[in-house]
Amino acid sequence: MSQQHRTIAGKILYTSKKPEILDQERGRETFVYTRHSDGKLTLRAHCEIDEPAPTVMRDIVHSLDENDRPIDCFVRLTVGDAFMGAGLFLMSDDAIECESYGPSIGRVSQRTKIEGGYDIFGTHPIQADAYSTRIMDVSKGPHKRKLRCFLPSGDHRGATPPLIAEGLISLEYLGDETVTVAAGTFDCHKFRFSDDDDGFVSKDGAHPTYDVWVTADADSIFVQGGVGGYMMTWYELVELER
Amino acid sequence: MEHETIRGRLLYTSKKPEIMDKVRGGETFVITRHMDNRRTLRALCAIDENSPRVLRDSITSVDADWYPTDGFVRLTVDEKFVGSSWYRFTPKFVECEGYTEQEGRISSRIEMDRARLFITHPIQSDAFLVQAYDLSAGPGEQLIKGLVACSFHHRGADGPTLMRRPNSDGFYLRFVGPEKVKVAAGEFDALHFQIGRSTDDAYQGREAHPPYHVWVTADGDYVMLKAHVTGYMQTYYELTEYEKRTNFF
Repeated sequence: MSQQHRTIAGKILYTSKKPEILDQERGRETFVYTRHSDGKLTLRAHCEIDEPAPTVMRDIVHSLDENDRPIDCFVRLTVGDAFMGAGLFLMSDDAIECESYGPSIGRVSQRTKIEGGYDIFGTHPIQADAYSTRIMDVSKGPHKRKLRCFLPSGDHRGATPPLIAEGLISLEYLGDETVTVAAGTFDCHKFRFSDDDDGFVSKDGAHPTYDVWVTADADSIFVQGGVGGYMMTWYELVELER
Repeated sequence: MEHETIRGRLLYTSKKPEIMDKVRGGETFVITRHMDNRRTLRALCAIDENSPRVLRDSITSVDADWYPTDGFVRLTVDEKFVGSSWYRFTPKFVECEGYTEQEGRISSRIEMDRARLFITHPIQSDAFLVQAYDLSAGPGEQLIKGLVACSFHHRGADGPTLMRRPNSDGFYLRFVGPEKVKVAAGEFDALHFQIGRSTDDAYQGREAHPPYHVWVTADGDYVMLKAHVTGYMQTYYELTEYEKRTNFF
């Protein structure tokens, strides 16, 4: 009687490595993803960032086809407890469309023609970052490559109204490790995101280096990770059900 | 942040004799009540009982007066992607942008004065509908105008598009009265409503939606405690998990 999709649910705790709030909770994320029986995937994530101000609350529903190519993505943002915007992104073979509204941008319709393809659509939940590492061919062993990314926000915290943004980021596969976190012990692939080409420069500079440990299986679940530089954030999987 | 968060899980079962009390689906939901009293409801729903089997994502928001502001619905039916649509509500119109497998890229707009209710089909979303009843009038029946929906299929298994019944002059809610309700998630002070005008529980036709009884929390949050659709549907819904917190979810 039941549908044949798989469901994976988890919770990621956001903490800090800043000395004044060392290891204190600064946010959290719950995610549920569905591996549909035809191979497609839908990831929902609900994220709260409490620190630093302004706070961010993000809802994402992002779907990928059986080849991990984006199909559509809904983003809704509340920043500083005020509505920031809600938008839908629709992807086709040659374009990304965005239909969005936010108090600061008004009603926006965008269509960006894609020439030459792209690697990932980065939506900002931590679990989404983990899943995007599937673009790397780990059978090649440790190596690094540049990724052409589209995003619903180029801000480091994704805290701007949903609009099409583009940037270049580097991703390096560093090898495998076994990692123990609150949710259990997992065999992981370790990756490093780095903004070598200043593809995501903000008022705080380029995006700091971001290390992630991801389950070494087809689910690519975020296990632990952290961002250095001015951000000094840490993330850990604390609950997992699959 | 000092918003409030409510998390819950609803179990979908059946009252059909051949599958009495068997699980036929379920729903998880998260509600945020923001500091300015706007609310956002996210629901993930699965209907497993026979075709059309539905997997639905719905994220809808209302303002401090419970008027819809924006929404998103994504549907998988019988394990195939069906559509994904975005909604925006203004004082003068409602618009929808999306993609459906049946229609391709869709853009639609309905000119209307401020929509009062937006039907997206999660059971918890149905609980939010009954807030439109003016409780100060006491038990009785009220006509609520300004209803739009993402689908009028009884399971919400098509679209999602933007729909308003052309001959509709409203939507009837009947307030039965306050009751104490005990469900798997606990014991609650509840308000008992009936959605729609039909009271014929024995009616087996499909032209009209069968009587739909709902019991929601009486604390102003309108959380669905239990519900029963009679007639040909014979579906039953019960809150099995409930958590309410300040800030953290």
